[in-house]
Amino acid sequence: MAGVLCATPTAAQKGLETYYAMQQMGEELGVSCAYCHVVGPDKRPDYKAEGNPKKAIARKMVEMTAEINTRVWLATGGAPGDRAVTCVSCHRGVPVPLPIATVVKRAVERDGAEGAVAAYRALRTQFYERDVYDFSEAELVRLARLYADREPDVAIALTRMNLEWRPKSAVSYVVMAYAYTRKFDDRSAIPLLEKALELEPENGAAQGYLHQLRQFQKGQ
Amino acid sequence: MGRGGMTVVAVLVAGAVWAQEPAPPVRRGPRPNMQMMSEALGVKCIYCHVATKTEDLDFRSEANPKKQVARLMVAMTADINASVSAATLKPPTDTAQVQCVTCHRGRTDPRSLQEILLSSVQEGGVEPTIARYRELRERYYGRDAYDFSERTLLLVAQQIVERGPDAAIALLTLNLEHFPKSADSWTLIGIAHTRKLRNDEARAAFAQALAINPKHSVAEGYLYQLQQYKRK
Repeated sequence: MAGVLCATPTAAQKGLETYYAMQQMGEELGVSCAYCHVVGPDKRPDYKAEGNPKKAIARKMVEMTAEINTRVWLATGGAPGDRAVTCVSCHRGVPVPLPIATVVKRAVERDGAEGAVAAYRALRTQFYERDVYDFSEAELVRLARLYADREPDVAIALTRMNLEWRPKSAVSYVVMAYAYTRKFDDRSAIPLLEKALELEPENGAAQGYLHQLRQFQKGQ
Repeated sequence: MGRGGMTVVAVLVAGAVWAQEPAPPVRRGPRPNMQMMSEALGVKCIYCHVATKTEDLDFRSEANPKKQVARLMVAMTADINASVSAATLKPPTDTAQVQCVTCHRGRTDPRSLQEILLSSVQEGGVEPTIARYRELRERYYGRDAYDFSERTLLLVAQQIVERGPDAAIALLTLNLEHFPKSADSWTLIGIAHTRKLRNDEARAAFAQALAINPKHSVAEGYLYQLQQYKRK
């Protein structure tokens, strides 16, 4: 930028430009200098050192960002500089930008249902108002449904957590009840479906499951 | 016979085959997941496809320019994933996968809230900007599309405070609705008043900031400055 305005930018101008660019990158990834720079024994970053592999990654990412911008404006017929993609477009203030579904999946693999709930809670506390993760009920219920068949305990834990924040969520009771039936625990499922119908008397899924479970019980 | 001759022969053979056979079918890659794409952008089929007279969709038609844009974007997304994998030296299964939704987040226009509000206030003034903020907050709060934390309106107000102090005050007042304890918002309101030489209003705003955070050094500094002016 300075190169356009002044024929020969001074070292100080270049330095300031780099300083602002680095500040910006740090904010966009939610990291401080030591994330990419080597920190010396005096605890100060050594900006010239290449010992931290993240520095090389960052360079490639910056190159890629420039290329994305070119391709976006070529594709959409805009002009150079329009609607620029920057680090934050994907990173959103975190170093590794993952969808909440992936965060939950990894936590389930590592620590099971309770671990997934703990990971979700921690992120929700930190990021709820921001644009990093989708904390909507729709996404949480979608996740619970994904787990209901194979890992019903995860679905039960996620819907229970949703009910803490949205106690009138009939769909949470229905999904939780369905998950209990996958564990052959119809006794726990029935009162949940009754609760769902108390909240939403017209809820067709709750009506259907409840009818089915009562028929099973009669048969036994 | 040099390499040029070989090429001529190859072209002739290829040409002869092509002349005899009907045009070979175009090889296509796997079709992108259309449902996923439309959810990621918050659009329906008609956004990229065209409707026929009977209002059916003609999926083969190329008349809608958005279709070509989408193709270029899909190709770009594949390249981004390859670049991320190459840059991080990890196999693609171990990196965060970039998809349409990574940037789009359920919207066609993936700009940040800060960019949207800034261009809105510069082009249409403060009233429609406030309406836009409320509308987006109503629809997207708690999701991952926009940053509704305290800082977004602060950053927008900061960028317009010199030229449009009253617009900045209106945006900061909006911020205080959701963040009544925002000492930064009160401080910036005070700064905006100083741009209009309304010293009493400025003093009151800095006092509000200090009532919330007695150690707010910016508010303290401005207040001290205003008191010095008063003495003269």
